[in-house]
Amino acid sequence: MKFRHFGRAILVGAAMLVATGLGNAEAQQLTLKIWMHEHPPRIPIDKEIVAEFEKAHPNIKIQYDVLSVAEYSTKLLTAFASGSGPDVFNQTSALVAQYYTSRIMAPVDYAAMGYADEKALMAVYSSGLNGIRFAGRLHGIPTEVSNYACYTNNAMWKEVGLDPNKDFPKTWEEFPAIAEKLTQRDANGVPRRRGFDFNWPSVGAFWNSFNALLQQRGGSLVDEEAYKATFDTPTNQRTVQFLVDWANKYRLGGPQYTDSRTDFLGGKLATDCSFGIWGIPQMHAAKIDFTVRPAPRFADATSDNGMNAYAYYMMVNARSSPAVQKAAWTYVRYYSDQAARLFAGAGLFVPRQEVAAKAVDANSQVFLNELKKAKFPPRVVGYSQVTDAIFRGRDRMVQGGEPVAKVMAEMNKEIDAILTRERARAEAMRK
Amino acid sequence: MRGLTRLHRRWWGLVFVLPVVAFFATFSVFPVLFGIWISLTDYNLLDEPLWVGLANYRNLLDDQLFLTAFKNTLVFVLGATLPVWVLSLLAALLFDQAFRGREILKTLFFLPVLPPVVVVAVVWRMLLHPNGVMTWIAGGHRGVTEISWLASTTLAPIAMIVVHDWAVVPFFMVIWLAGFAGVPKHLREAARMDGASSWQVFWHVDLPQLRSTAVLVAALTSINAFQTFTLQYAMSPDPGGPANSTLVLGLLVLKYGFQYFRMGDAAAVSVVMFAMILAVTAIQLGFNRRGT
Amino acid sequence: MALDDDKPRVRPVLFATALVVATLSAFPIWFMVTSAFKAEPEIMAIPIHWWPHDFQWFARFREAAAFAPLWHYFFNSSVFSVTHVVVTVFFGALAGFGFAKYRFPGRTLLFYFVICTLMIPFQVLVVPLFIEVKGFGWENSYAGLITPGLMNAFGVFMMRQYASDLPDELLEAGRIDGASEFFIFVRIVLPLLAPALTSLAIIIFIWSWGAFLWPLVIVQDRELNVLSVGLTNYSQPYQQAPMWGAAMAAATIATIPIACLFAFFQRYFIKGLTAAAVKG
Repeated sequence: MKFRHFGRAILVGAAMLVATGLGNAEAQQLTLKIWMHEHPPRIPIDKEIVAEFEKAHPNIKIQYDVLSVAEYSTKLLTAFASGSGPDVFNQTSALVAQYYTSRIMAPVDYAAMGYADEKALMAVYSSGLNGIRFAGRLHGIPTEVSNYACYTNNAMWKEVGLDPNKDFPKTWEEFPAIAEKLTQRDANGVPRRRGFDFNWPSVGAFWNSFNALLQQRGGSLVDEEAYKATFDTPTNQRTVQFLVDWANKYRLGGPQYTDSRTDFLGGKLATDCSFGIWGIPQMHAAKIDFTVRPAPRFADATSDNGMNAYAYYMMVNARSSPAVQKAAWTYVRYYSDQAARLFAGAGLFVPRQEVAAKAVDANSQVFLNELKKAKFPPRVVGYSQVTDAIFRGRDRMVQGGEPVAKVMAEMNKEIDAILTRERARAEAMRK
Repeated sequence: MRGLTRLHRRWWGLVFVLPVVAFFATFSVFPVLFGIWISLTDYNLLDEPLWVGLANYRNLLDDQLFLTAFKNTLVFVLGATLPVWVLSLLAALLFDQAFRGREILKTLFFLPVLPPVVVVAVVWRMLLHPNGVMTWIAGGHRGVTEISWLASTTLAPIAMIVVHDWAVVPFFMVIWLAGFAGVPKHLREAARMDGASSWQVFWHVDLPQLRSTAVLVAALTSINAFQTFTLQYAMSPDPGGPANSTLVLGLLVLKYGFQYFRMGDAAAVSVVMFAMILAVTAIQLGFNRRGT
Repeated sequence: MALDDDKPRVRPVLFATALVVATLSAFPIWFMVTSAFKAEPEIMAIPIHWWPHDFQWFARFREAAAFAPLWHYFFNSSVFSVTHVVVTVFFGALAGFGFAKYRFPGRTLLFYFVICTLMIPFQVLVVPLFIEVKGFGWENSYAGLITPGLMNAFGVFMMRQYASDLPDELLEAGRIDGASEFFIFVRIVLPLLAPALTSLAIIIFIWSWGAFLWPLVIVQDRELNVLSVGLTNYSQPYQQAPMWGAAMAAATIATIPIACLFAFFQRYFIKGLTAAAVKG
């Protein structure tokens, strides 16, 4: 009897030893939750990268999810709010300000990434990092940078005797006349086919065009650091007046028409400046013979920038555990090193030295040249509120016919009020 | 022994009602109180709620969006109550008469009530396309090819009202008809035998009897109108319409809460809405009580 | 009033007026249904095609199902509505019976408590409910979608009215036979209330089928959403022009269940609607 007990005790003891032994090895096992937005060409590449990373790091299991763009921001917010947010996520530059003020983004951990310091990281990237720099520190890595340039439908241009390469307007001031030649109207003067129109309905596209136009003349919408609106200035008024005139004086387009991207792809618009380099495959699919030209500048522009750039940044959740965050930065390093694959396979331009060097053709070259000069739109915390205020003011001026000066003064006040509240909250949070 | 069973039996009632009571306590009453608390905070989901007291309400007074929505809601409520009250009464009078083909026509008239509100909104959004059906009906013979029904700051609110009324008048007609049925026939007969004309019969016999129905229709149309937002949401090119001409308070709650993620502001707007509805309903019920 | 016909008279003026009025009411519905069977260019064609020139049975429906998870929407709406109907009707009848036939302490107080919730417009609830449901971890799930609407105070009110009309002798008879209170409810009360239950069921189904705000807010996954919200995917697609054909097909599908209820249960339908209104 005694020996049986003894034997059993040994077995149990041995089992426990083995279990703890195994346990020790598994103690570093962790799961990395990764969310990215839906961009079909990129997804298969993502999955390959995930598989490779898991193989190289057996103790890290990755849970990779793709969310549709329409739901992405809301889902991120609710997930963060209930404490179940992803550890690694990407998001567009327009929306990152709120993650900064709510301290969701972890500052870059250079050691975990395998860089000596910030300088080492910046040496690898040719541009695009400023969009994720807050209070002097970087909080993420760009996984794609895009800027808009102008696509012309060559058939329509040639039809009216224009050459996209020679006759494309260098200035906004000369554009109305050229667009008029390309516009086809019905008996009531309503444009049935527009020559060129801004992308009025799309919030993102309009934001990237609108800010760019303001910046060309040295103006701006807001002062990010000071949380103040800088919108209502004489220079900006002239710029806004140009937009209003495009719709009301020259009757070349306006918010009531189908958005320019849809119409360009549908063969109902001769020129569009709201596509990035990623638009090229779509043009091929729609069988449009196109040329890419830089966006026009104002004749009196002080800044030689085309339409705005925007980026998608990959970031790490500051609320995840330290061990998970370290693992997350390791993944970010690995992912960002695959830049060339992402460009080749998904057409995503990643602003790294090895990618920047290879432009494929003349059209792509225009994008790369423009990107060097492109500015980012301001990063505002209440993006939704501010864009709403702008759209509202715009509609009042364009569709309501209200005077530009009056409306801009009110818009400035409104945007100021929004920013003031955000600043008050940011300060209260810091207490 | 009997006394005991009666006592036991009494408590069964409590057991039976407990599920609904618990449910409403959790999903109705608690949220209202919670909502009032949220309206006193600045809460954006990402950070902890920040107590701000009545600041959200004070901000509403200066808030252009809120004032616009407030005005738009009043306009819409006006257009969705008075005309509906009158038109549904007229329709009820029409379909109360006996004539050949009445049942079929009444059924056809009732069709707008069947589809869910979203369907109504989507169908009308298509019909009100600038180059679409309604444009052709309204202006085709004059050669007009484009009317921006939903993109014009003047036409859009009117369109909302007309569509809403189109969808609800048949419903309220049915209520009037039910009210008519409740008028004792002999009163009508007596008045007729005394030589009263149809109009006099209606004015002096039916109408007084219909007071409670009339108040009911008024109350329901206004409560319904205050809360409407699905129509505006699904019919406008972008919710809120051109220059926010169709932004109503219900939409504003959605915008503040789930587009801007300013939960405190959204809650404050909803509390204001609640107060408005309570006030209007109280006034209308007061009318009812005064009469009896 | 005419006293001598089984068949109403022919009265041209009234008929004409009613015809005009009925046409104004019905033509958008007609347009919706016929458009679901037209070729896409025909839908917005001017002059109006009142009947499809090129009748296509299922093309628009297939498009609708391809562009968005139409059948998921339908399924989710069905689960949503049927669950609401079953739970609301059962517990509404149970509570109505409890309030009507049992004198327990707090009866009046609790009844007014329940009825007061009818006064609360949903906009007041939507933000706090969202935060509460998220707190349970139910955001973007069936639980979160269905639970907040599971019971309806109107059901309680309506059932109490009908239950109080039930003769007490029947209940006593059951008790003398030794039945438990619950048994009495299920075997005696429910069958007696059947017509009222049907009306209530229809009305709850219609309300649930058309529910929009709550699903809009609580559900983010496309596959999880209900038909009413899903419909807007066709008329307001993300960064795309509206697909009218698919929208009309989906709209028709969304209308069919209610139309069927109306066709088969017209009396209960009308009764239910008026009961909903006559609640003051």
